[in-house]
Amino acid sequence: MTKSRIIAAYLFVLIGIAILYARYAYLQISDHKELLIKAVDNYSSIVATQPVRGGIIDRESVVLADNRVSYAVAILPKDAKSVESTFSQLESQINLTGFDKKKYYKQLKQAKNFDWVIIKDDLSNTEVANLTAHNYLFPELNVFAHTKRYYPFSDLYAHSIGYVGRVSQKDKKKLGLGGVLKNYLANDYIGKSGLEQQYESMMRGSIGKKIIRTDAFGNEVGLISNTPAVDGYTLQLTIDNSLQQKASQLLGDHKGAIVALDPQTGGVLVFVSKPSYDANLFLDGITPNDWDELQQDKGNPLLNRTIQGTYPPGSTFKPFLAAAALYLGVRNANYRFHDVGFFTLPGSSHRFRNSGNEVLGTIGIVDAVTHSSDAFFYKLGLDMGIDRMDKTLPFFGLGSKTGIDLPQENSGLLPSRAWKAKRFAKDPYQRSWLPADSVTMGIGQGFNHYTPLQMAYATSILADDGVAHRPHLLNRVLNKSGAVVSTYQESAVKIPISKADLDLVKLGMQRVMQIGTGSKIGAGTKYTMAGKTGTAQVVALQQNSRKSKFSGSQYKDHSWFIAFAPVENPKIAIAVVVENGGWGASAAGPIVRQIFDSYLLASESSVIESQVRYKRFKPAASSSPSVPAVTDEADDLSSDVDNDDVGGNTDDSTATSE
Amino acid sequence: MIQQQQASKLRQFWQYLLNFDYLLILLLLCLFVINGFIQYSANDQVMTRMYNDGVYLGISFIIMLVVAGVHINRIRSFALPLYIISLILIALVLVIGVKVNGARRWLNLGLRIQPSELCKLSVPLLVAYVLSFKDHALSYKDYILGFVIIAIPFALIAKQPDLGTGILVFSAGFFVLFFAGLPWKVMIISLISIIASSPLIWGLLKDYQKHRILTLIDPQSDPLGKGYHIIQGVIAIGSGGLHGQGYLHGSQVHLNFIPEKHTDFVVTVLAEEFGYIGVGIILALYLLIALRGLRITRLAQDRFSQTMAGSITLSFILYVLINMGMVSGIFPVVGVPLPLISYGGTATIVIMIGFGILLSIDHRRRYHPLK
Repeated sequence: MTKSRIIAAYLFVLIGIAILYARYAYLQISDHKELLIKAVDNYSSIVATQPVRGGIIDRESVVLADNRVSYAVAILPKDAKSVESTFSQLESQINLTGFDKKKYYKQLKQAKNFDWVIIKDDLSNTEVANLTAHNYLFPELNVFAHTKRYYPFSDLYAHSIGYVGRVSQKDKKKLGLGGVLKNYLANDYIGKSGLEQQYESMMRGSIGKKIIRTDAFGNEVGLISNTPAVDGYTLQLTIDNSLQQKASQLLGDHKGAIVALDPQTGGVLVFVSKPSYDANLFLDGITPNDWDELQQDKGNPLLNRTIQGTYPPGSTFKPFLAAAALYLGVRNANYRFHDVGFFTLPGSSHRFRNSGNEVLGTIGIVDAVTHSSDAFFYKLGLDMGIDRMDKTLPFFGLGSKTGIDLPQENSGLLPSRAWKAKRFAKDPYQRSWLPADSVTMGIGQGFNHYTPLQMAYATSILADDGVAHRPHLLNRVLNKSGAVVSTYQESAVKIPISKADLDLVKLGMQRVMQIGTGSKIGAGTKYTMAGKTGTAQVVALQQNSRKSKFSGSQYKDHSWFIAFAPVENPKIAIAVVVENGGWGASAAGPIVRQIFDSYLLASESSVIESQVRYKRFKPAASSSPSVPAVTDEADDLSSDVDNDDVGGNTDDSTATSE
Repeated sequence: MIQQQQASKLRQFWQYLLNFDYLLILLLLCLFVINGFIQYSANDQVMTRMYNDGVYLGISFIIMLVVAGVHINRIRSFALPLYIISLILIALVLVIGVKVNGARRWLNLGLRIQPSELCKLSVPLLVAYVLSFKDHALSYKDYILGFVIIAIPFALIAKQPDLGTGILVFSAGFFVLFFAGLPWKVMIISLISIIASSPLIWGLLKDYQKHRILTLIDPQSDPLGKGYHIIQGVIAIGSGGLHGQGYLHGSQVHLNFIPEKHTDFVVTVLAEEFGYIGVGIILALYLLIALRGLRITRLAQDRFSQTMAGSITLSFILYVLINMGMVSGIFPVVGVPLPLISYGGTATIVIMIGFGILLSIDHRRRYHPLK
């Protein structure tokens, strides 16, 4: 054998082994970190755990927004292909509608690897039993219990608490901007309207993160780390559930709104907008049928009349104009006016008439409020002029947002010269502010429109001797064990009008209930009460006539009533509007009286009854020692308008038909 | 006198025993111990699954000792019958073989055996045997005869199809020719012509033909997840780092990301759990064994012994290179186990018979040195 063969063999062995040494060194030393990350990626999967959304309770701890247990059948995206073929088999076990399937496919598109995609939620007991019994047919399906929002009072709080729904693409964008997108899963619930939207960040809690170990087939084989979910906080509102129910019943089938405030704090006691809708419908995407029904309802149930419906205030405007006039000295306590039943502008023959052509004779400013003298206020409107009205009426919050803790509040309309010029820019005859515009505004007609909340707010400012407490629904934020995490930061601002001036107006309003337009309503109260009736004209009446060709109920005037009580120590201030309710004293007034009676004369027994009847918030026994601080400021999200789910029309023209 | 005779016989037997290459045996036993640890991990710590592995290791070790004790000339005389038997068996495989994953490779004779494994020994044996009659320089006729002996079983094995084993059988025979003195110019010319023509031939092939050739190399590789095995293997090796993730703690291996982790991909278990240190140790063991084999080759006293010892040693190291090269992604996937570390089977026995022959060759030199 030649030596060269042996040398070649040695070289072959040495070079071969050297190559392997080099290759393995490359992989295990220089590429180690990169490949280790790949190995970790291979076996670890992140599974999110859901926090329980904080509830919403009333001032007596009655649960208004709850979480209920729902059974759902779901599948992981990796198994989704196989289930499509078993849909027909699945249909024999559970009732699967086309809408369910559509929702399923929509969710599937957004789902990540370890997100369970729900095929059908809210399974009945029978369906759960069927699926459990036939488990072997669908090994890839998972039947599980999860918590879901539930509104026990269905439509009673649809316009205040609002509702939650699935996170939309639009929501995601907003969450991304707020830097909190990672706190939501693809098919998560999020507050879509009302307080649910406003205080989303407080009620949401934070999502838990569980990192699991999986094998090559995607089966879970162990736990790597677990950051548990932190449940959301419970909101306690200033709302009084029993009063809210009472108010809703009293309004009955009428369209309209009732807002009652605590004048000493700004806390909302009653917040009713009718017609309403069942907030539970929106949870998992409203069905097309339900949506059509809501859309086609002529009453427009999706419109939140309390903060989005604007109405001319009618005579309820008079007390505020009177207070403004006293403040400016345009009128004083000694001023006397001769009411002949109508008012004419100098150089004009047009008669602005008193309603009912009543002739009141010589009256002062208190009498003018008490008897709602149109002639007096026509002249006052003219004497004040639009510019002075624009300076003083904002003291009562008229024409601007009250700042209530709800999204999508309408600011109403306090007109001005500039506004009119802009509004009628194309019409040279209408463009300038006319004296007649000031005259009609004097009795609360004309261009001005306010929301029921604005009128209740203005009333509460009057009631509390000129201290404006910003209206709010939230009282305090509680954690699971019932401890107070934070309290709503109330804001109180004293308006410049003196107590003496306001007292004159209040006296006029108190007499309304005794001898004036509201005397029937105010008869026999066990407390002092001040109020003002109002009638907002829906169509302009013809000269010299109360009869008109518009006689259908849809042309009937809107009925207003504002009031507060007790006068010396006001506990409640209210504004009620009943659409097409006619005279303020006839429709809105009796509602106010009954609400006041039940609120101010509430017997122990009725309180206890309401406590027994409804589920109440029970703090968890376990104490949670460290509670992360939350800011008192409302969620940033709330300021944005989100109309993609509700066709709520915030245009002024919908509710006001003048 | 009788006592003296007995004492001398005893001394003689002692001499006989002393002249085995115990260092080589010790190195092989080291691999066996490592095999036990690695297989325990690769089989998810289930002892019952390791039963066959243990049996194969035990039997193959005994066979090696038996073969080592047989005189090399006796072994040489088995060459022709063994070759004929292997040819019959691989021909039988083509007819009555068990088809697994589209390839007929096994014969079911109560025990499932792979006759192509036998050719890894019988082919070089016969080539070495045929060339051993010529005392002087070999002629081209001898080399052509050698190639014919190699070509017949190679063609039959390639037809199974199992091009991987076929190439290994071919190289085992080729190594014999190489050590017998096959002229460099013949090797270089044929190598150049193969390399030069391969892209031309490859280019002329249609897609389905290329695919067929690729599946010939390894039909078991998943056609859907091409490269999945290799990617996961590379991740497993790399994630081991210098020290490894710890014994029984390799995530790639234990969470089933590695296919065939106890057979062809067994090195991933070692690499992931013991890191580069583990890989370095096993490569060092293979290197030492190969150096031992080449020493035996170098010192062998006749052409048959030389060519056989060289072929066995180089084949052994070739398996290591192909297997570890394949798993680490520098060779295509070919079904070659890692010698003596992969789960025991026919291949283990064939390798150990090879080492038996090596020991026998070495023993003859030490015990009956030619003057």
